[in-house]
Amino acid sequence: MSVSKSVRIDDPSGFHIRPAQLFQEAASRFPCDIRVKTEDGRQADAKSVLGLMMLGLAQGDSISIEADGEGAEEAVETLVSLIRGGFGDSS
Amino acid sequence: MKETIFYGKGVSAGIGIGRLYVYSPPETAASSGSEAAEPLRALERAKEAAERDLRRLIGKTEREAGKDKAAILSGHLSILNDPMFYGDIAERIKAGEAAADAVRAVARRLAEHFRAMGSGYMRERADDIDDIAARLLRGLSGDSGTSLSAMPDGEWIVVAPSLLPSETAELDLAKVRGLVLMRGGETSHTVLMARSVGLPVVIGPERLLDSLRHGETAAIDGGTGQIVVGSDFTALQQRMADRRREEAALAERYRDRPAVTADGVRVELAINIGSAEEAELVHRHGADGVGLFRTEYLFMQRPVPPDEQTQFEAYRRAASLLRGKPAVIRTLDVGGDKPAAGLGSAGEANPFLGFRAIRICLKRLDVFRTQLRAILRASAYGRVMILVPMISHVREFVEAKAEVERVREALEKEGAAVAHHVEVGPMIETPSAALMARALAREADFFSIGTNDLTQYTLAVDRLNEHVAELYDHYHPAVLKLMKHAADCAREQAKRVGICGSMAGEELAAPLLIGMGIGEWSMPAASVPAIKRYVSKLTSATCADVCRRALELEEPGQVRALLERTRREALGE
Repeated sequence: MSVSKSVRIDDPSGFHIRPAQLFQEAASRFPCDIRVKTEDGRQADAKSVLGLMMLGLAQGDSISIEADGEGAEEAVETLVSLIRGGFGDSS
Repeated sequence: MKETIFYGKGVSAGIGIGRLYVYSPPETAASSGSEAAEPLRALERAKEAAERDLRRLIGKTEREAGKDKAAILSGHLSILNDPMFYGDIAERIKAGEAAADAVRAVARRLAEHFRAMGSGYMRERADDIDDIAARLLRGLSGDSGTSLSAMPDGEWIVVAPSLLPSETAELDLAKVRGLVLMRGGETSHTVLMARSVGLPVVIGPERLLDSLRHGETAAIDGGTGQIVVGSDFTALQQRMADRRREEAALAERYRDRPAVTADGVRVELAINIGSAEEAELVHRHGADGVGLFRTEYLFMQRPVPPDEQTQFEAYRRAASLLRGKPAVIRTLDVGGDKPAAGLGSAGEANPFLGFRAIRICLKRLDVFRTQLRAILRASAYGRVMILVPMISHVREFVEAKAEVERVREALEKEGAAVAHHVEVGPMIETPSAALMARALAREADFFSIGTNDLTQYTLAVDRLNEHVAELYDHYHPAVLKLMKHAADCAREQAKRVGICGSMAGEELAAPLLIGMGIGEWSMPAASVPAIKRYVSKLTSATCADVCRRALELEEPGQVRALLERTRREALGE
């Protein structure tokens, strides 16, 4: 089963290393494959900090989070709310 | 023993004495010939060793420098385990590549990708990749390096071409007395780290590496950039102790005296600071206030600008530490050669002529307003003034001032406490600002002449370029004429005029500045007592005469000779 959801990045710093780390850690808790896709069609493994950072995401960019397999739905929900919640820290 | 003195650039203040520890980063070009029989196992072991090292370093850094400074190392841990890093390396080894070659290839590809990214913050991440790759290669070659962690007991001054963040974290502060680096800017991670723990740092020219030998005794002064090598330890210690005693005695003698010429002309001596805490130095050195608070340090090493509250707390802290003495806060001066917090645009062909300082602020009003809000809110806690850098058009200053007014009105509407009047002045650091000084003076509450950039722009010399650096001299009569013109225009309209370039902290310049009627000098705190002493030996008639004669000369060397003579006569040396 494949699940996908879009979300806009509001954090002014985009995806610098700490948000990327928090995102990757959260993603790694799920067994399923998770990908982050940009509007211009690039994608990265959600379990790779480097991949996430290399997308060069900035404030205002929209991304879609897609997951396949066990726990896909929960994984997407968790990651979307992590981004919406500003990663629970403001730095 | 014969003594040699070298000159570098002091970037983290303090004096360090010890033996030179010449650190050469481990040779990471391990030949593929020494490849282990089971390269995958070797890689795994190297990774485990790297993880252990990093965890230890993270703990050490958190204890010594705070959680903030350890964040970069915890990032290393994530990258080390990343599928795009470790995973790709393992894949290549499985496909038959030698382990070290695989590490280098993957690291090179990733680093290239980051270096090509738009933001300065992301480009710096390429250094992280290099750092981790070097660590992994060390594990593979079984070479633990000259190793900074296994430094023998003693007092050492570490000499290195440059230090990676993880190498900096490795330094044992119980043994290290200072750093001499060949590369690394004033805002590099290593230098910021050293400043936060009070470790002296001098950045020297590259050729210094050939002149400094392991084990020699040396003293470095992170304020003046001096490196004294070859004397014996006790003698050096003695000399440094003598110097510190002399300085302390001078400071003691002049602390409670104002800077006044023999015939009663008063000059205000203020200090330059880069963080709020340094405001305390005003009292210790008997200065009259802070003449230049460089706010850009708050913006360095951050992916985005600090928020209003963070800035407000820093400015308020400086204002309250000053206990009523004034603080001139310079608005954000980044861009060009020093992009910070994602501001400015890197890779400009002429960074010094490019997108920097007020030019950024007027385009990024969100950033500018946040800073102005923080400064104005801090004005309720002390005497705060606003200095606007890099003005080349009168309208830039007019716009900046209007922005200050808008922000003030908004704050007052919100009911926030703001001082009744906060003075705003331009920095005079471009020839155009100096030449337009009459118009600027009508708009300004005060001037501050920035002689470093003014010299660079007037003489068209990049002082960081060693081929032309000898042409750079702030005593060039052309620079002096611009300064004089700006000072005259300010005084015509009864506006105060100050100076905040490195000329202000030089004893030599004192008679010139007094002669020009520049009444507020901002300098490194340590220079205050010596300047007070010299000022007290001068008379305004001498100064007027020196100034008039200097302006008629043709070469900076002639001006220096005149100033040297004046100083010798006044101090009776």
